Amino acid sequence: MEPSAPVAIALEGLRKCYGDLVAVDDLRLEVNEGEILALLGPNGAGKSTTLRMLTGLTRPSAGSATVAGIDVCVDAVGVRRHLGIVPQENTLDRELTVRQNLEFHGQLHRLPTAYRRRRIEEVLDFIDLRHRQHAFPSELSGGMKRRVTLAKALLHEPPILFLDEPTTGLDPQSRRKVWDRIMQLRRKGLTVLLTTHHLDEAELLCDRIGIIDAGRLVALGTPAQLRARLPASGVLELTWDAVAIGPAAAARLEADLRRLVGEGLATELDLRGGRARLQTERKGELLRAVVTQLPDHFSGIDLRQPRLEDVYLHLTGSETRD
Amino acid sequence: MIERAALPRSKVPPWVHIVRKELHVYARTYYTEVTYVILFPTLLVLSLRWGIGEGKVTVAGMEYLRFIAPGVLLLAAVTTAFFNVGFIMIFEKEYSGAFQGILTCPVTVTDVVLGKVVSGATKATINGLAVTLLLAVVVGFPLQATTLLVIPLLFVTSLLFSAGGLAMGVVLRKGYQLGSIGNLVILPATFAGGMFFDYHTQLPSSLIPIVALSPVTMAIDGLRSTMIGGSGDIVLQMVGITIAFLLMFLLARWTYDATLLR
Repeated sequence: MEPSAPVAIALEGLRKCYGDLVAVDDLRLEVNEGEILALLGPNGAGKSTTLRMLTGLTRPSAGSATVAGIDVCVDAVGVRRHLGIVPQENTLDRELTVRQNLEFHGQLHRLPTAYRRRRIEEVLDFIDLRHRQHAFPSELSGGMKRRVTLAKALLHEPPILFLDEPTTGLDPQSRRKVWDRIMQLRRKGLTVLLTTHHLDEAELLCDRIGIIDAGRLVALGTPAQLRARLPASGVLELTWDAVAIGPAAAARLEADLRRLVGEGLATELDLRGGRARLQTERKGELLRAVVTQLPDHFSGIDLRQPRLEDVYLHLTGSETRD
Repeated sequence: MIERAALPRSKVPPWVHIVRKELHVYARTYYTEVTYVILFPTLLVLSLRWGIGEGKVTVAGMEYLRFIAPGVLLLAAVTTAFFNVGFIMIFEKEYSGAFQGILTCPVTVTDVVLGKVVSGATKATINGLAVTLLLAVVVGFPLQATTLLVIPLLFVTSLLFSAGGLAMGVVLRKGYQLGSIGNLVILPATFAGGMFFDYHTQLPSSLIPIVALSPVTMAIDGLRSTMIGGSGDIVLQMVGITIAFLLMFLLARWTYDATLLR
């Protein structure tokens, strides 16, 4: 990505309300040409709603957005002509074969016949599914369906690609295959806006990451810039078997860990059944205190550098969202 | 701003491809569909023949089974139009995700509505023609040149009910809800529209103008004229049904816009 590359996607104060619920709130963001940007956030953070607004499938309540220089509120059809979209759910027509699905998609994009047929051959090779081109979606694995959906999105050679949680529900091998394809697209210079809640995926694939929570953009930067935002230079992770040590000992252990935070040895404590994560600026002292002052209930002690996951939990909290 | 590589665009509008795709799927299941569609008219006509006997009852100067044949045909066609489009819409929208796939393409609301409605009406007309042939054999009305007017009449009436099915399919989330609404609208409209009786002579005079304005009544009258001879201006009836369709099309389009693009 060029540092001064032109802007491919621009969001200016974008807002979406459903009654009293604010799904997206004052979102301001620019994605440069050739950049891969991930919107990372818990369930219900507003990621998919943002993508729907950018594709013209949901009208913003306020603000504006342009994709490829086109206002999404003015010419949604024009925007979609420049976009390849991989929605979260499977969108293949189960009545059509893989090839027929691609054919139909190309027809809806009004691609001329000769060009469309050439592109179908190319995308079938790209997703490595030429041998299954006459199969119906019901005969494909989840990973294969995902790859066909990606092929549909790429059929008309869009300069911009939207991927809404592209690997959710896939096994590790299928995830790796989808990642490989996205990295190939990155080398071709496509602009990609990706939503995910897989931190490894965001870190591996993206130039920049925007963390979105409760509809608001709470952080934006490269993975390194985001890690630098964590007010700690180290993270100590402790694990124990809460059932084996019993509830009384577990409660005492948790109280001891809170005491360490109170004494200033750690800046933040994240406790979740049999697991604690302590952020600290005083790594050595904290480790020493844990080893010497706390009972030996631990099955694992790991002192490490902060990861993106720590930043994410620091910014969005550790409570489950539904 | 990104300069999109200029691609020549096909002149065929997307709605035509939606129609072609729907008909491609329909062709695969044609014999099953037609079997289902002709089952009800066959049973109805045969039951009445066994019940009241052949040629023993006349209405408006016509043998009764011949009199009801146009209404039976219309009921078969509009049922196909309404439920086929409505069920496909609910299924693609709520369960299969295929509708989302269409929405990711540069298609307008009009493209989608037109594609679904025209394909539904085409299927209903083809099914209706199968029922026409069946009725010609079972009831014994003559197949002549004017019988061809059945095609535009069935098509335009099916357009109206396809648009209604689409509007309902957009709003509803479960197939059984569509069944309830269809039965509340289609059966009363066809029964009141003179399927089984001569509304000109057998309804209270205050109700006649209301019933006569129903597009279903116009369609039954029109079909009766073309199939077995009868009164009524078929051009006027076609115009009336077309106006009803255009209004329903606008309603379907508005419903789609207001519900799916919120």
